[in-house]
Amino acid sequence: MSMEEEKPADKAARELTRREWLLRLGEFTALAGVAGLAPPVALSLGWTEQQAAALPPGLSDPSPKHLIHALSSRALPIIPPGSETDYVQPRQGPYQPRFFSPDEFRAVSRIVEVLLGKVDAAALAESAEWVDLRFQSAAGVREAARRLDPLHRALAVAYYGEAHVVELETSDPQAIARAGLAALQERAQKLGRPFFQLPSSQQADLVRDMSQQPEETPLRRFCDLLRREAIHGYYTSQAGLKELDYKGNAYYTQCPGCKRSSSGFPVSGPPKL
Amino acid sequence: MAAKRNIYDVLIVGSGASGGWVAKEVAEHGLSVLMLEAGPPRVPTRDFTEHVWPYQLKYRGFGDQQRLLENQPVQRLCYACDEYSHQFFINDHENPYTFPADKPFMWIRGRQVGGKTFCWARESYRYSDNEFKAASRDGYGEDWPISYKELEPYYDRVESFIGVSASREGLAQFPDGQFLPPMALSCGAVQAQEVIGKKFGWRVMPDRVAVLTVPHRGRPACHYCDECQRGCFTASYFNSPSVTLPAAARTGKLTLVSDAVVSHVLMGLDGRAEGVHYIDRSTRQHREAHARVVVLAAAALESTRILLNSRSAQFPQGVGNQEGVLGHYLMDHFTIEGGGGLMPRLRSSKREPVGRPCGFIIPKYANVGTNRNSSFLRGYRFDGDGSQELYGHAFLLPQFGDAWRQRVRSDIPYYFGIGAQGECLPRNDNYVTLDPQKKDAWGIPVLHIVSSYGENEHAMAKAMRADLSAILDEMKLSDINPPSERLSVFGKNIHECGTARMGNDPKTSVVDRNCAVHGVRNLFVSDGAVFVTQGCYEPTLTIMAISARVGEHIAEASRRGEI
Repeated sequence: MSMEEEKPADKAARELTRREWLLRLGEFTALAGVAGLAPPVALSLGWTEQQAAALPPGLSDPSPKHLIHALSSRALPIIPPGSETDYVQPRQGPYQPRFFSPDEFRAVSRIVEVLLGKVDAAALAESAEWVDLRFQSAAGVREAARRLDPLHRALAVAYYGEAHVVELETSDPQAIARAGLAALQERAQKLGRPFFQLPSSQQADLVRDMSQQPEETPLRRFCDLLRREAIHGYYTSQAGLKELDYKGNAYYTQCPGCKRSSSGFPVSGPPKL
Repeated sequence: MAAKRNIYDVLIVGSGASGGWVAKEVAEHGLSVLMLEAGPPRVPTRDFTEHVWPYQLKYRGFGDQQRLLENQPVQRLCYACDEYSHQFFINDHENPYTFPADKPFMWIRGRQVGGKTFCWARESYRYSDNEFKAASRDGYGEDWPISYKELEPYYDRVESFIGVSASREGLAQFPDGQFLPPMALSCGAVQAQEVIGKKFGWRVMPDRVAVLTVPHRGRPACHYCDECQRGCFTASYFNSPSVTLPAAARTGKLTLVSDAVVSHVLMGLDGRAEGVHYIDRSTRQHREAHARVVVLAAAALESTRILLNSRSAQFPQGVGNQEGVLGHYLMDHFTIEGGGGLMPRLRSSKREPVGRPCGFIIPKYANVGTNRNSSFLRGYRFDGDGSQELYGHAFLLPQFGDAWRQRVRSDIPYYFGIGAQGECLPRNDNYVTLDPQKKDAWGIPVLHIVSSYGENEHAMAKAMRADLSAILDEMKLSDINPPSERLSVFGKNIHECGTARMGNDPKTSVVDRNCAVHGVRNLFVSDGAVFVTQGCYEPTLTIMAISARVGEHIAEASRRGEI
């Protein structure tokens, strides 16, 4: 890289100086969240593209290219061609439910909203979409479990125990949803309107009522499933993880270890960038 | 097939922990190397998911369960074969194997340049003569033909090159080595250290891991993102494609051919190995490759399978199987898991940083030194860790809505978990053989695996449970989960070893002390297949030390004109 090419990174280079003490600690790790810094720092550590190019396919050095990729993945992922990973695909237009009808999905979204409370709108939408995907994919999972080769089934039983495998082969979230939605519809009709058209206070009352039904009733079973999947959906969202103050998937310059006194009181964590 | 044979000095089957070390050693000694790998090359920017967030994935990290059940019904049972990392594991339909329905065996495999080193758990322990000479101590089975003293320089060499972070403890049964600074302990482990040390006199220390705590040989230190099994852009843990194989490649002596599924060794009429037969993974074309020396480093059971499939008039039961020992003495560690509970004193409203790629270990104490346990032979070690719940407690907290979410956020339980891993005795009746009917996607006969734990393992499991329960009590945990009543499934710990064991006597072993197949001077096995015993510790570091020793032996024997 020539000096001219480095010029746009002047600001980054100043940043670098400011962070030199960190480089001494962890070199690479000091770069977190500042993708623009990668090439000059990589150069300073003696990495070049030629080095990587000399290796046969399948071998790799730690390289600036990988670093930039890692750093950029904090934003929306750029889906690499040929990847075997199921990344979320960019969507055009509004979400089309896979399992629920549009009206049912409006009802489910509202129930999820009552269950989670006042949360980030995008996270709420994602949580409802996750619930829809879970119900939609459940039938295929059950069928795949029933089609397991007998040896693979025997192995699964040895690994998980019989009860878990039977659960996988018989659980039918779609039937629970159908029964739950029908019971909910019945309740709503007593109030004169479909669930999604009820005033929000009546919707909240109905959700509370669902959650307090005896176990094994259609409303309660549906509510429990919705609650479980809404929890998974929300706490794996960006806003949900932020709310938990999750401190993983980060770049630390020191090994995060115990920083508590013997009374269990936290003193301080390692430096994070 | 080319009219002119290209004859290499050394042909290595497999590119993982073992193959990488053999290749590095022989290439650095100036020998030409052809490495055949059954799987494809991995591209970090395409295949690594190191920093991907759950919300960036279609199934939010829970995986496409239907596809996993359909394509990877065995592999999916491994914790690391999930939505982020399933690409590092094989397709079970392309790669079948069989077992008696009442003796399930869980066989976890990775086929790619680098093998399983992308997703291994990185724990790196030296064996001592407590393992190598266990038979002399308790009279069961066979000693290794080599001693700790003989392997020690190779442990030194491997640790110095790959980087192992560990504390020095000065325990004879748990030798120290060439260590980088150790990882830190979690708060749960710090408390365990105090309590367990005081009550039982056992040492609690950070796992010894092949992860860098400081920059090492051009590789940056770990940045503690805690998802090693998804690949590592900074190559801060050992994997062969970023550590040993580049060193081999830079000699200019390495030719790496990926997607080459080896079926059998080509044997000459003079009883020497001439090369191997392989099948192109994608085109299904059959090919041959030739070399003066052949090394099988395809992982324990795959190397043995290649030997079993190398049948000819001279070797009707497979090469190395004249005495019927090949395939026998299969081992895998068994574990007692699930023990744990909450640590009330560490309940907090403040979230702590996470990302330490290791937990703690308590080394083996039973049947060490003057300790003799009367109810079982050999021994076990404990491992575990403590951490804050992420959101698991959300399901258990009643109610919902804003107030509920506030409690999830501010009332964070701290969970402590501990398990035990024990030595599996080498037994003749734990074995692999060729399935008479079934073949893999390339037409190669597959393994039939017969394995079960015996009386000694069950007796040891009883002691493990008693110790674990005593630890859980002493830790004053709440909401205690007792340790599992069941032993783990055979194979589950992915430490399968043995089946082509090392020994001085060709009647009771398959390879000699240099890992050459008895009677075939230029055919070697360098992976876990050669293990005679496996102690209770992870085998990979010892596999690497053995491989470095095999590589050096081949280079020296070749220089002397012996092979």
